[in-house]
Amino acid sequence: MSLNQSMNFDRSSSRGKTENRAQNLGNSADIQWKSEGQQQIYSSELVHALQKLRLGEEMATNRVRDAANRVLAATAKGGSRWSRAILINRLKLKKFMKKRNELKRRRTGVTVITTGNSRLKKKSKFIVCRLKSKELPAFQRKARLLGRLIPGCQKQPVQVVLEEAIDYIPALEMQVGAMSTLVARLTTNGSPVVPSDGHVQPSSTGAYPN
Amino acid sequence: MSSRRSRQSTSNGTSRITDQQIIDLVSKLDQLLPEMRSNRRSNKVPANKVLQETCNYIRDLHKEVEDLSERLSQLLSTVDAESPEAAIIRSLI
Repeated sequence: MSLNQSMNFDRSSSRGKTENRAQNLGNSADIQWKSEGQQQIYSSELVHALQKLRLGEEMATNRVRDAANRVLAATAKGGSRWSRAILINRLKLKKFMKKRNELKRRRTGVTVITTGNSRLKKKSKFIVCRLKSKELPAFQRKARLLGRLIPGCQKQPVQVVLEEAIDYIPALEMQVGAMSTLVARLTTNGSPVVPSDGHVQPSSTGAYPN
Repeated sequence: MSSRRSRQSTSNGTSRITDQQIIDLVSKLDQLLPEMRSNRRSNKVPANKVLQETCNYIRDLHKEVEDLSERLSQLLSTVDAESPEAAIIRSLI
């Protein structure tokens, strides 16, 4: 009897903990990402990162987006799975791209074969997942979809995916807000509007001598 | 590999994923989503709908980040020629 009572107590306490955890997760996510200070921190970090990019090659959309995501993940300070996944994936991608480029330079035929194999493997996996998904309830299917959207959550259980989404969405909103503020400032502060003759002129008045 | 909604213990074994937890998380998520409708039927929004809205919303946010980064890259590449802009950018911080 005492054993059962202790088990019940444990279950209720764990349930209480998880309920509190869900609430705490939501509150802390909101507080963390929606604060003004957080957005300013992110903006400054982003500007620093973008300036580093400027010193290098030409700006490409992908690199800007990757830099923005990387800074976002860094701002998260590793507290969530998606942020860690973004940071780790960059390292993996760099190594993978290096290897792939080396292989391409040496033997192009081999790489074609390997990609063909991996495609077949992906197809077969996909077919198997399709057959299984007919048995899965729609909720599971949508949870899998959601997991694929959030970086690093591709094969996580539903609970993890939901928690990650709760943290990821305010972070994305903050990212969008910070970037749009940055764009607005750059366009109103004399960003050059390039006319047809190609001569660059600032759009603001009085800031620069024409 | 738990492909069904797991009523078994998880891999770490400390807590079971109960439906109530999932419902709590889904309601939390629902609060984050932008509500277009005027009246929020907070009790009756099905979980499937919330997940679908979440997927759409995250996709929209990704698209917006993509567009913004494209604009930023264009702005920064055109601005690159002028050095006072760098000072302006720094002063914005």
